[in-house]
Amino acid sequence: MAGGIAAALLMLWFVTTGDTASGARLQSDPEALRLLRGAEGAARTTPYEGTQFITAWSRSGMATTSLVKVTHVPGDGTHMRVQSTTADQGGQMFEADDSDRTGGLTGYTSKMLDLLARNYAVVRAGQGEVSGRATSVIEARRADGSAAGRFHIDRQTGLMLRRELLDQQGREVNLTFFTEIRPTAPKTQYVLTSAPRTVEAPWAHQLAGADLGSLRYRGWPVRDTLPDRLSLYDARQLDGQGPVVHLSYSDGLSVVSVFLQRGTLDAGSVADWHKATRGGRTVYLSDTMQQRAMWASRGYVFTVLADAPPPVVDSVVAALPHGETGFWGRLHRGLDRLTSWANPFD
Amino acid sequence: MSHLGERLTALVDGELGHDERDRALAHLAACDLCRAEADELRALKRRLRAMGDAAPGERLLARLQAMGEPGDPLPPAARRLPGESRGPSAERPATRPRDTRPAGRTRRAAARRRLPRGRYLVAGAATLAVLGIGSAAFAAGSDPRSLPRVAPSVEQFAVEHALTSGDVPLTDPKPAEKTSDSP
Repeated sequence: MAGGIAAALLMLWFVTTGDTASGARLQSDPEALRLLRGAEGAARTTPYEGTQFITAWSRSGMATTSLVKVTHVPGDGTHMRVQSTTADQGGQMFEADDSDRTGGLTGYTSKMLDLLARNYAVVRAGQGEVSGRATSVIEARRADGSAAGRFHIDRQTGLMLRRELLDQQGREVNLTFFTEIRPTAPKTQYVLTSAPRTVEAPWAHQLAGADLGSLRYRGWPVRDTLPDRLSLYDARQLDGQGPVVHLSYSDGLSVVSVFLQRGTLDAGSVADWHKATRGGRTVYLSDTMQQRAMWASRGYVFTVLADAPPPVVDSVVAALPHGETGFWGRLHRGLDRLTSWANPFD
Repeated sequence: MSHLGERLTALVDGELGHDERDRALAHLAACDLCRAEADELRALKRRLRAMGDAAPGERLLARLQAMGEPGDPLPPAARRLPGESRGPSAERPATRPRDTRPAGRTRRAAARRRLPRGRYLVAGAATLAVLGIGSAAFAAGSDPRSLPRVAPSVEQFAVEHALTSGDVPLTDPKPAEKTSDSP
């Protein structure tokens, strides 16, 4: 009997951890990883200006497209300005070269690259062409061999010229590429001189491991991992009247942001969103450029923004806490509250 | 006069806003019923906090240790004969046949006979604990009506999402400044 239970548990462990284990067994091509790693360096050291085409497909199949003017001056930074967009607004930003992030196509930090190599087989997939420039094609492949992401690296400069995020059926979910690029000193010098800079930076209050532990201790639903091998790679807090905690998750390709706030959801903020059921629970969804979902549960308001295939977003939404009503909901809330009362550090 | 109801829990938790707390305290000053209920909740909270520091007394420890030591075997249970009516055990005839089992098993058998009593005690204590914690949790789990209403600033979140994921923000919380492509 005990042996049978042990065998069943072992089987369950294999089933539930099978994805991770197979992910770890995926073999990446070191040269493909070197090219991806080199793209970030090239983006800092190469002068260029060009136009990026960014398209994302929503759950309903509607595409949102934007054209972004990008200018980079080595030693200074990258200026990005949305020229036209089918989205509601178009912003602009300046990113200094000495920042620890790079934007647009070159957004592959070493942390993201590590996640990519852990979850996918990163391999070279032949040659290609973008805007008349010869490229090396690199694919991030799932355990079944299908491509989840595809990258084009300029063979001359090492810049990333095209990036695709693909769903299980091979359809593009997110596509970014240069429609034109000139890897020369920008003709327009406004970045260096008189052009106004809209410097945007993530929220300054970064949360370390101890901060996250403290939040969990106080009952905040902070998870280290989410379904589909999404790992927490960045956490920040916006202080002020009612703090907002921003948890960033990625598998190296998809990026999911979970924003947590203490309180109950103001009905007016989801007036334009549509009500849906995910995992038997009610959430509000918005079919915009990003996958967006919002709901309230156990005294917290959850807002999820994701650049990811819809099934990934659905499993993330289902995995996070949802409001329970009636007897069990009240009992659960009460237990949470009693635990916080009994906690001498609370 | 309407009573505080579920807002009492929020008041004890310190979760009420400034104005609402003042109103609740003003009500408490005038309402004996709510004041008594608030006192009970506060006492419960204090007891729960104190649970971490509580240490068992020496006498209790000694008694618990004594319970763990092997005792004398229990007297053998009398077996009723067919047709025999129930009666006080003292009056039952000693009809149990002589125990011919090896002596080494006697203590184990006695321990086995003692087990149900301990098991009932443990089960009773666990049931009481579950009922107590469940009731306390149900009482404390009233709907947190005092929590603030939140209208998430989604456009601001979209910019933050873009900045941490390395994408170009396609929404702008500030009005886009006019720029010129010419020097």
